Amino acid sequence: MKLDHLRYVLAENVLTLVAGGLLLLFVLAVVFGPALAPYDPLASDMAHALAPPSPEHWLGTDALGRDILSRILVAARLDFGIALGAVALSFVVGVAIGASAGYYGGWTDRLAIRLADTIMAFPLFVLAMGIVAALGNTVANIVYATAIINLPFYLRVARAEANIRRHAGFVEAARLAGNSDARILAMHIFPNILPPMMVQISLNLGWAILNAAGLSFIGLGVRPPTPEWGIMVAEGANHVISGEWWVALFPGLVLMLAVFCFNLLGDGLRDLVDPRTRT
Amino acid sequence: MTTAPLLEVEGLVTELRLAGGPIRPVDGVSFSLSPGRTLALLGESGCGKSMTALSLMRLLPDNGRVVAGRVRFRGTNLLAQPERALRALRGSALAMIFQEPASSLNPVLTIGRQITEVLELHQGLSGPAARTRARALLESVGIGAADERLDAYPFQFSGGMKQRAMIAMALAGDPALLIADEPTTALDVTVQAQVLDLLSGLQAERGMAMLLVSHDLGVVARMADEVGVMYAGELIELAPAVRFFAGPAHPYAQQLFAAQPGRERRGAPLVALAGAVPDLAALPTACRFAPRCDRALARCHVDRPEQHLLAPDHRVRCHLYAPAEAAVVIGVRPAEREPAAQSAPPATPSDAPPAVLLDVRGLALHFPIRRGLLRRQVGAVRAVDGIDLALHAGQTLALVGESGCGKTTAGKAILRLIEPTGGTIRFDGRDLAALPAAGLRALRASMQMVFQDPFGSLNPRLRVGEIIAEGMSATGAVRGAGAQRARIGTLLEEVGLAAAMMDRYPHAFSGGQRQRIAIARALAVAPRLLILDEPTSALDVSVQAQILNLLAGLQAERGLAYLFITHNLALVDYFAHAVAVMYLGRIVEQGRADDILHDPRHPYTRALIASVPAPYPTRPADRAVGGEAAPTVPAGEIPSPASPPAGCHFHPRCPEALPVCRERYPEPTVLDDGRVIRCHVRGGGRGLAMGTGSVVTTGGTAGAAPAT
Repeated sequence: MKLDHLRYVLAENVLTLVAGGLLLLFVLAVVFGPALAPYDPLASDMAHALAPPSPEHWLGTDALGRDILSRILVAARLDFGIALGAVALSFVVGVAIGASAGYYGGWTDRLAIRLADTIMAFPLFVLAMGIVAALGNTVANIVYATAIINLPFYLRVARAEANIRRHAGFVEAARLAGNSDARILAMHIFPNILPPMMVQISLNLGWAILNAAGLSFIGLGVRPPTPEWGIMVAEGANHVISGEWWVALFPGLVLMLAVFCFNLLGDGLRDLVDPRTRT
Repeated sequence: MTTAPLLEVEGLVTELRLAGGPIRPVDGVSFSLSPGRTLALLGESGCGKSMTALSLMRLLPDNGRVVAGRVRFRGTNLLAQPERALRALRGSALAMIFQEPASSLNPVLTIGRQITEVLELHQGLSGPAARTRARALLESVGIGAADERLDAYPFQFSGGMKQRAMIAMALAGDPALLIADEPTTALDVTVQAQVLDLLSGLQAERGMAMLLVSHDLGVVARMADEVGVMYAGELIELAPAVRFFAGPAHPYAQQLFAAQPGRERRGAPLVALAGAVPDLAALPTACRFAPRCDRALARCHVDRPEQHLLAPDHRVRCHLYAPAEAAVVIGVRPAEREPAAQSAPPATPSDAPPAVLLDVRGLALHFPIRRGLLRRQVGAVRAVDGIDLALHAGQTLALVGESGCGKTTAGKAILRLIEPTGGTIRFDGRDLAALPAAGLRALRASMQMVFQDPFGSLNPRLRVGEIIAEGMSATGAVRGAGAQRARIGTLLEEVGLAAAMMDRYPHAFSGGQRQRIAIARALAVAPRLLILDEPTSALDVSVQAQILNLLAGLQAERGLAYLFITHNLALVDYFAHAVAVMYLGRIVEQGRADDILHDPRHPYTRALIASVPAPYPTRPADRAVGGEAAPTVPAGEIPSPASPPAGCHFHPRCPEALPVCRERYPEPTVLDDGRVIRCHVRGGGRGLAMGTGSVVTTGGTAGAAPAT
């Protein structure tokens, strides 16, 4: 039944199918990346530095002679890990605060909204830079920074969706049945705010990947020589002028495809979690 | 009657393309309409009446188109006209008003701008000339201080005024045909009466033809010269109103009458149509009503019936009137038919009422209005302002009033869904208002609520079984998954659904079925009192009859007490033992249903009852004069509970108000028949009631006993 529904949603929406296919490729890279990589992503080979795409090196090599394809494949795990971790964190915290704020109203609500406003008052990328610079250049801190700057979006959506349902008939009926507030939030409010949140999650995943890569690009994220798409674009940027376009182009292209894939996936995901579209 | 028809519709077929294939919401509809006349299209939701109206204007949704038929307006076929020509007609010769005045007016433009726009487009007026004309239009629809109102925005208008403004816009183009799609369905009954008066007055003045789309037999009886009944896309009966209301021919039309609640059906189950309107995507090829018809012949399930003429101006699409069958059935009137034998008639009021189950004293709920930086309280919305109610075990108390009077808030305050700010609520002897939150949970098992909106009251993310099980688990009424499933199955069967439905999601059910599920959920904890908040107002009349029968049966079987919150007086007359009439947070009159509804004393109660259009036509003469003893419909609308008028809240609208009414709120007075009334004029008040008899009480017992 669930599978049927998945098939129905995919068949109804060709773009979701394309995005799903792309996602599948990325998942394969995340799971099997190191095994699939034809070369050691860290092994330099100065003899073949800056080699253009060729049968040996499909996507060419960088300034240290490292195979770009291998580095892209291996980097997928790190980039997706950071994005998923950050989004999961901001989703859980944002929904918990936002849904309670929308449900209880009053002071809880005002505090939560001011918190979101405060975060949004900063240019978000600069805020992330500041957090990583202050806390230190580690993967965990990139996750926290990305989670913090994403938090307001979850909080606001969850608050708005919970707020319009706090006096819905089914919530009052649940209260009449003797449910506690916590149970009403978990059983009645949360499942109903999930569909719009799914769209938010998907859009945010792309954004989080971009953010992590951006931090690395300016040297505040993952440190070289670890393969990471942002670093790879940064490293390749110097060579674009001298004609070695492949060094920056391919990691950049993969980054773009990842973001594109998540943006397309949003609407399909919403249909998937909404039982009203189930037949 | 010899005037040439203004509008002739012949064989109109409209198709909507849907994912599952095309459907025909309008299928072969023909009628004609002469200037100055009103044709009402009557039917339940989904029967195609609105779609017919939209087809005439060619205002169909993107996936709809007219596939056959002709619409001749002043002799030209509208369907063959280019879009440009039609655009010139819309808003001028053809005008339309919609059900929801709130969403039909543009919220960011002033009322004046919206009217002058029509004048500019169709009358070539602009500037001061347009404004003068717009002001005259507003005055003609009964909006005072028209010059100021022109500069007001829609949100500054009340619901009734919005609908008046909509009518003014429709009139701006000087229409020959006005299409009114459920024009008063969103309005309160006193305002509805005003708007209907206005429409018939304007029609008489301007000689407009009117196509009225309505589901309400009372509105149709009040307005129509001719009635067309629609069912599943077909016009199944077309007759002059007088003939139709004297005896509808089609079995479906007869069932509609039989499903009307009212005093004469009290104590007996309503005749409820089984099943639901057929799915337009899978229509029977034979008679579309045959599967639900209790008089279907064998051929009804095989052939599509032809139209048969009962009189030159009365046609009906039914096999029963084929010449061979006609002798058997003609002349059967719905009122004379015996209701289908069913068990469990509603309990009738007895002389010695059982013990008081719910005793509410001085219940108040004031919402504070806070302003400024420090959120200081500057006033209060007195949503419920000290009401007393007594509900006896196994009986029904109706709490009646117009929207905004506080009746729903009172219901929720009794359940402590909203914390009351004053008063006592005693349930079976225990004081609920003093109960701590923990004790409240135990109480939930004895008091439950059924909500108005069957679509909002079921969590769309839970299965029906989970929805019903929730109360059982939370109150511990039934424990264990197996026991719960068994109980849910019995409950679903008890409310007329199948046990197997517990694994489905709410979206798979119709409005009536959802309301049954909501009732099953309330019953799951075996309550003794149900608060029913307008449980049938979102439902069609035939489904309403099913739900009322169910509720009556459950009351007889389980001895349930109902607090029935409603605005529908016919329901009260059919269903309730006692009535409390509420106006702006206070109860103005309370007593036995029979006494209050048939001998109303409070001017507001009298106005409410006078405003309800009766489901039989009144003579045109009566319409104009308003009848001899009938109290007039009150002017104006219900004021805001944030700033109620000083003294008696009703005095600005009251035709009998005395100077004292402006000064203080009347104290409750007990009259000789046991009713409690709060009125200076009619509640005793040291003889004042006798002296000012501008309107004589209909009951004959002229002297209300001065009890205080």
